[in-house]
Amino acid sequence: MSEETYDALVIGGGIAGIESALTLADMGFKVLLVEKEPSIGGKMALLSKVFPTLDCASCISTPKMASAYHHPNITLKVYTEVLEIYKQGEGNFEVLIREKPKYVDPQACTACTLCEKACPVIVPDEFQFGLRGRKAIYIPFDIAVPKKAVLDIKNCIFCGQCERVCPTGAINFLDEPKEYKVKVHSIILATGYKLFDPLKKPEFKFGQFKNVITSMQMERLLSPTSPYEGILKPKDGGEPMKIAYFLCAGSRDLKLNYPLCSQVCCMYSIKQAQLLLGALPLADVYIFYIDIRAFGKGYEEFYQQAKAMGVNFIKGQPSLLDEKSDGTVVVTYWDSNDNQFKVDEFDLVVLSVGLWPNGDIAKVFKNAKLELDEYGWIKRIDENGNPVKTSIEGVFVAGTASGPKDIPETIIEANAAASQAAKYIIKYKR
Amino acid sequence: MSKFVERQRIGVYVCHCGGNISDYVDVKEVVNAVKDYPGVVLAKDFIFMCSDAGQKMIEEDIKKHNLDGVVVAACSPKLHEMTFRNVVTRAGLNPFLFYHVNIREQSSWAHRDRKYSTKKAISHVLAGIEYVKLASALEKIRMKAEKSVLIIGGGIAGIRAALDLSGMGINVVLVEKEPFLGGRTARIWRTHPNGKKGVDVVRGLINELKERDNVVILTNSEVTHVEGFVGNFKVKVHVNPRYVIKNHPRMKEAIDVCPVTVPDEFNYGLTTRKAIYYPYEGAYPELPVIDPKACTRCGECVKIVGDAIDLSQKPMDLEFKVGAIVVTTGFKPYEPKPGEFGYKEYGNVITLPVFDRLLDLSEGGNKLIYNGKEINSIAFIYCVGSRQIPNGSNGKVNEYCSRYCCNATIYRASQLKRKYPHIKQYHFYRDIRTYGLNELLYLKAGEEGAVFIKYPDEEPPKVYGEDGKLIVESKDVVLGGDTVRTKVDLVVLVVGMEPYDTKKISDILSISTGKGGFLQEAHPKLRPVETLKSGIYIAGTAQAPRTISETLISASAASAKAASMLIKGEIELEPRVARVDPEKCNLSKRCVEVCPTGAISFKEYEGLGTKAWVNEAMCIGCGACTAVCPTEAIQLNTLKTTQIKRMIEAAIKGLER
Amino acid sequence: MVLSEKKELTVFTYKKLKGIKMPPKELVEKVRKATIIQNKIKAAIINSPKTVPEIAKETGLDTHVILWYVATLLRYGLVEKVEKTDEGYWKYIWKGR
Repeated sequence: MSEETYDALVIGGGIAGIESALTLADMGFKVLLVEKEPSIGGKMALLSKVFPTLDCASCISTPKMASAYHHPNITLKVYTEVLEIYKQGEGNFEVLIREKPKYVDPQACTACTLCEKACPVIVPDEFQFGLRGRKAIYIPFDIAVPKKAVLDIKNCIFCGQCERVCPTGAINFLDEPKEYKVKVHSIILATGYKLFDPLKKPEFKFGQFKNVITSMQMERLLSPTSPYEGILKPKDGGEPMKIAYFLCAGSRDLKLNYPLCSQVCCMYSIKQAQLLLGALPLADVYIFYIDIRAFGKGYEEFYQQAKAMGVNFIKGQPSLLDEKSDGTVVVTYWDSNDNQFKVDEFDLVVLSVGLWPNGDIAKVFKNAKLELDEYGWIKRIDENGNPVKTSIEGVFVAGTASGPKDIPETIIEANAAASQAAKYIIKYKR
Repeated sequence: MSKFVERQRIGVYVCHCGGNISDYVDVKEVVNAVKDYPGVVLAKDFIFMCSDAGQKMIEEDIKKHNLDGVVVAACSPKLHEMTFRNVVTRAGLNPFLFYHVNIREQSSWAHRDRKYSTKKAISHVLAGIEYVKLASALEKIRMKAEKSVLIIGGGIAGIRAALDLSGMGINVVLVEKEPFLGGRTARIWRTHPNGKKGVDVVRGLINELKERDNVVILTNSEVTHVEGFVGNFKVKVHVNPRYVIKNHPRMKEAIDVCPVTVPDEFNYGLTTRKAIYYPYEGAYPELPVIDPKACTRCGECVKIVGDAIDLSQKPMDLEFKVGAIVVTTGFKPYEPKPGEFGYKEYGNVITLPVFDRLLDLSEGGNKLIYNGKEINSIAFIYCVGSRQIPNGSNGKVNEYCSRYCCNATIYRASQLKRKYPHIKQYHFYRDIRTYGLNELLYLKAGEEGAVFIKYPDEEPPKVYGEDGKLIVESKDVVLGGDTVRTKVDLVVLVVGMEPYDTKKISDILSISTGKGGFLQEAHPKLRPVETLKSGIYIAGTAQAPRTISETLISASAASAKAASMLIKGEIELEPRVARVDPEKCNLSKRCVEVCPTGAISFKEYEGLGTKAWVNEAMCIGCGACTAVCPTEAIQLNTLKTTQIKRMIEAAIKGLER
Repeated sequence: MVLSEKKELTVFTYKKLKGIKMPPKELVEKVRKATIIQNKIKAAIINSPKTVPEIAKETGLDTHVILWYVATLLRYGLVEKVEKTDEGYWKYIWKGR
């Protein structure tokens, strides 16, 4: 197989990678966009609405996803990983890529869902953060791009039902991983973040108390494609009337040796609180905070709006006490307004989980060093000159790969990375 | 002109917008109401019409059912008209045979009565169908675009944008109002994260800029007029005289000999300068300037450097064309009102930018002296001019958070600690917003002994004098509301950012400002550095408060967007222009009188004689001519008079159902 | 498109190639348990709609397990929401075969 050449490789098909790829492609550059999951869209595609405008997340992400998919200058590879990158001089990178087997021919698959329905194996659905199950063969989510089935062979019992029902013969168990090399002139890292895993902090009782959920699970519940088709308590399916948010779950936490602030949790919690009051008009929402960090354009006003709507803001760090038999969670906290400890009960506790680094990408660079900061975020080496530059010339960073960021900043930075990559390509492309 | 045939095979698509529409509009009812309407072949609803699945459905329908027109009823066309035009184009249909009906902002978001908003949605969809029936297939107008960009504002945002655009092969004209580049950043004492001085940050960027041969820098200059459109803006710039026209080996002497001394605005009056001056060592351009207001024309400097100085230099007005414009006009620090936290009432109450200059000017020693007295304790009061709470009597207030201030002040705290370890620091704050990685600054400042006191939102601290010292008195929320009184030598007001003269620039460019007066982006997420006027981009603190790196990033982003528009040297314009049917024209000339851009003139038509004619490059599609034409000979391509009439009739019928 | 009847399913070729006789025991056990739960839920709501706590009462399963399966079955169109009780619980009915 002869090596294909691209002007830019964009690693990560979340909103940052999509935006970078689209901007470069619009300039006329040939872009290879690589995503490890079976669909592009990243975390944003799974959100409900976005602050501070309360636009639906899908209204912004899905058209961009579709544009990236259809753009004549973008080659999109999903379910694909970058294994190794060798820099062979300025403007010249050799990249080893691995396409994971999907066991489904994407050309033939029509997303009819018959295979999903026929499959007898149910496993937790990672795109719903475990709130419901999916089959071993599955379409990632409703607005996935490309919307094609993929088979999770680790959970397959080889019954062959999917293959029998597929009307277009798309299922192919003989699918093999494909490894190949490409040449690229520049690279944009848009590898995003990992959500803080609340199991790292046993005192949150996540998994143990069923009505303690993460904010990302709440995003799913609030979205039009809610796994419960509504906002319900995981414990018993009833509507919650009193909901507490614990801000800084997995952020600003010295015990976890992770002192950083995740930058978006205050705002998304305030947003969720407003959406909850809209969806459940009788509900009470309490937000426990250290500082409310409503610093972006229109954010402070959004925070004041939440206060005016009746969201209760309490400065103090709460802790979980107990779970009653009906799933109600008992919480104790220091109320600094009244200078005393208080105990209260909540139907649902939402952990506003933070953004943690996803620095795995550093190890694919084989002959150049991608510097990370002490916590694992990709290091900006010229913060006050050219902030999207990394320690490797020709490799740029976009979005949350270099630290927590909200969506507007992520999109702006994705364009900044595109502009630096474009300059670099023009300078070194031969 | 060929005989027009109405479209008869129209597909109608109604979007749920995942509840945004369907919660208040019965989309199924909309579908049922229009599916048998004359000319409609099919009507469908879908949860997200803009998703790939929705797009694919439309694409396949067009091919399978041989549709000749498409109506999508969804969000605002601002959001997704382009998305669906592309879908229609992919299916082989002319994109102008598609009409985008807004049933979100205009129906579901506007009304709480589900029945009424459904009815209104139906009415609008029917109008959309009538539009499509009479729509013409049109081609976009292709025009040559100037491969050059005007950047307004020579702070770090403007310089960054100039570097990026010129690096992508686009010519740049950088216009700066002040005599030197560098803006506010040059005045910063030390910048986060590595303690680099503000002037060095600026210098780093300028050194790169000096190597570019496709950047023209106009300092002491202001944009006075802009007309035209994307790809072809005509710009007028007024260049004020610098009086110093070239360098001279004895220039330093010429400065020293100047007998005039005035307060130096670069240092907020903490120092003085001459009438001929550089604001700081290494300022760019590397030519001093003569301040005409201070200069007495004594000619002492001329005696030394001769023809390097020309005191008779006149202002110039330049005119040139550019393809796009990037606005980076920056911010100004909030100026506290007299008496606000003791400002102007007590000598030792100063703002953060002034404090920064004080620190910079005091680099030499190990004592911090202000007003002749050594400073051993400082109180910082946060959120001055930010997050202000309107109470009905305090007039215009800044309700927004200024974003940079917590980070900047706390970084100062650590730097201050390093340089003056003996100075005690008290920080009176509302919320510490050291977001993201900046949290490390806060932790460090706390560890180093800075004292943080959270004051209640509605009850800011009081500042008053006592025995020659300043007292800051405040409630402490964390201590359960106990009152704290602190005696200090200096009070620093941490002032927020305000937009700098955005009113003027937004008028010149016809772009809008938002809450707080900052320049408004087209959409915070879809088009965060674009304005609603095609070809005009915004970046830096003119758009919103930002830190240095955030400013630089937004400047690079604006460059990317401007470049992607111009890089091919050709742009496509909407075919929304007026056209004349020469057979109907009776030469009333009224169109010529009302046209605001002078796009209409006369020409010879074969066999018809002289009739009106529209220059499409100049037409802005405003429709003024169509309203005055007595014979309906002049019509907008994209909105004919007959279309408007039929749309109104259908809309009324829809409401009467 | 009609598949060639003679062609062997690729799943069989795959099993032969990889020497797979039986799928992993734990996985089969998981599938068996899940099937039992689904059947219990089906029996409970095939004739009359019930809330999650009502299904739990009838089947003896935990409420959160019921909700998880009900959500999964909703996705595949085997269960439908019917109405909400005054206490804020939805009633579900079986829609599949």
